[in-house]
Amino acid sequence: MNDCTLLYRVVNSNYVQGDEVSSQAFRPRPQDRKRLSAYDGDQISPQAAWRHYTNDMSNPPAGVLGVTVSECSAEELPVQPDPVSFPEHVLIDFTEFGTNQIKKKSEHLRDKAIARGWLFLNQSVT
Amino acid sequence: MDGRESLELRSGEFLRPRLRGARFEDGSISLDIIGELAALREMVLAVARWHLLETSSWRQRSPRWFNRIDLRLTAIDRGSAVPVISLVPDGTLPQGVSLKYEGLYEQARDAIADMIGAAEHSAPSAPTWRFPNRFLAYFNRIGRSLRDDESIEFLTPSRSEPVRLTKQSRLRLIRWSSMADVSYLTLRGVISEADQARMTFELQPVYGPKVRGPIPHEYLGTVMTAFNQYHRGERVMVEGIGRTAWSNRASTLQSVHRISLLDPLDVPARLDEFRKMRNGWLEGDGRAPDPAGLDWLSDSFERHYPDDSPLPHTYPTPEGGVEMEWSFGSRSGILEIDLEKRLGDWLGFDKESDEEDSYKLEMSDNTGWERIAAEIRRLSERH
Repeated sequence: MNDCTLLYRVVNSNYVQGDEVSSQAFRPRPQDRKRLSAYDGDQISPQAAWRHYTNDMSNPPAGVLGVTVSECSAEELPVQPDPVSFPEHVLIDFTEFGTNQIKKKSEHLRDKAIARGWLFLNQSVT
Repeated sequence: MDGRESLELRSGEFLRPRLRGARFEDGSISLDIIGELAALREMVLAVARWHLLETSSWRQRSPRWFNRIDLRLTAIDRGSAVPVISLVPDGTLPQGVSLKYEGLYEQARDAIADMIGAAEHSAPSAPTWRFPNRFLAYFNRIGRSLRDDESIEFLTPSRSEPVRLTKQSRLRLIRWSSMADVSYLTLRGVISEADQARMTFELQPVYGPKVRGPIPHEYLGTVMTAFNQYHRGERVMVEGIGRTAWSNRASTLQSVHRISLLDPLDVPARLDEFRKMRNGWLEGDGRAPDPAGLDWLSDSFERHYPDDSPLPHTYPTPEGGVEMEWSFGSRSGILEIDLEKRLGDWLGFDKESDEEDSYKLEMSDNTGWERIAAEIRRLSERH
């Protein structure tokens, strides 16, 4: 993993409305303890990440978006490998920040990811 | 005192339901029954409120005095147990106001007794002229502890004989509660069929079963536009009179008053999408938004958010709430809404300067929405 490595987020279909994606797709949930899970793009393809993530085919995720390690660093968000859960797992660390800062940073990451475009899109959702 | 006279109302009394059965012979009433009487109180108030809104010009909300008249258990007579229920205005309500509206509660009581009577005599369906069937769902709670040999008798001034709520009549009332009602409907969805020869269309609502209805001539163009854009998800709002089913049976519109194309960001239509969600929607976690909360937000947004203000993108939150997001160039606004507490959490910010403004606000009335609309105006103007 280096600065150019893409980190994949599999996006829940409820977080997509038309062409827009909620910044929540890049925000840790309360139970994540301010660490956002992602896939290490050096180790897995976007489509394989989507398949790995998707258990419930009745409600499949919309697709995969990605940000680079350096884009996270620009937001002062360290990225750490976390192979304990599964080998390609990484954590984007928001622990230094409060709720408002987390919302703003998640929106910055979302904007970067949207500018890059969908890396994988589940055709049955769109 | 065990005859009809024990049920007849004395001055100031509203209802004397008599509990029949071995369990009640000593004149005592179990706490189960007290809870069921509380549900009866709720039903009387709900039906009275509905009647008021149906028959007056107060279309949006019932007047303030409505919460200041209550039903209370004022005594329990013996001779099989007879709880005495009275209509009690609170001390701050002028007497004239109280007297003027007592009739509403009495109408509600009599209508409920009519429903019980129809169920007791095995009518095939609920008398439709009294009140919508949905109110009969209160019988899920009223009388639920009744045993085979027990009943609750009700005698109203207009009746010569009491009506009886038994295990059987209660089940019939509950069954009726899920049968179709005729009411004014506002539906949002896509036009999946349009028949120009018959001048009918079929609407697939965002949530719920398909609805068929007539196309008024003046709306043929709108229907055809929406029909031709079906695959692109062009949504319409249809307002009219129709039959609603609480089960999954197809419904029909008897008359259509208005059909309009919806903005792709229409908030009530988007909220309807969330009604399909189930708990666990987000990686096995994630609470589905509560349907009553969605009803509230949909109504509140429609009523209080200005028509000319930019619409947000709307998403569910993992906690069972709703998040609205606005974006104007480098400026953004995020409103997180707690559907249960009806509270909002606002964050407005500039992505370039990092300048921010955040606060919590009450969303249960217009003031919260007016403040949000002002924030959105500011964000969009600066853009």
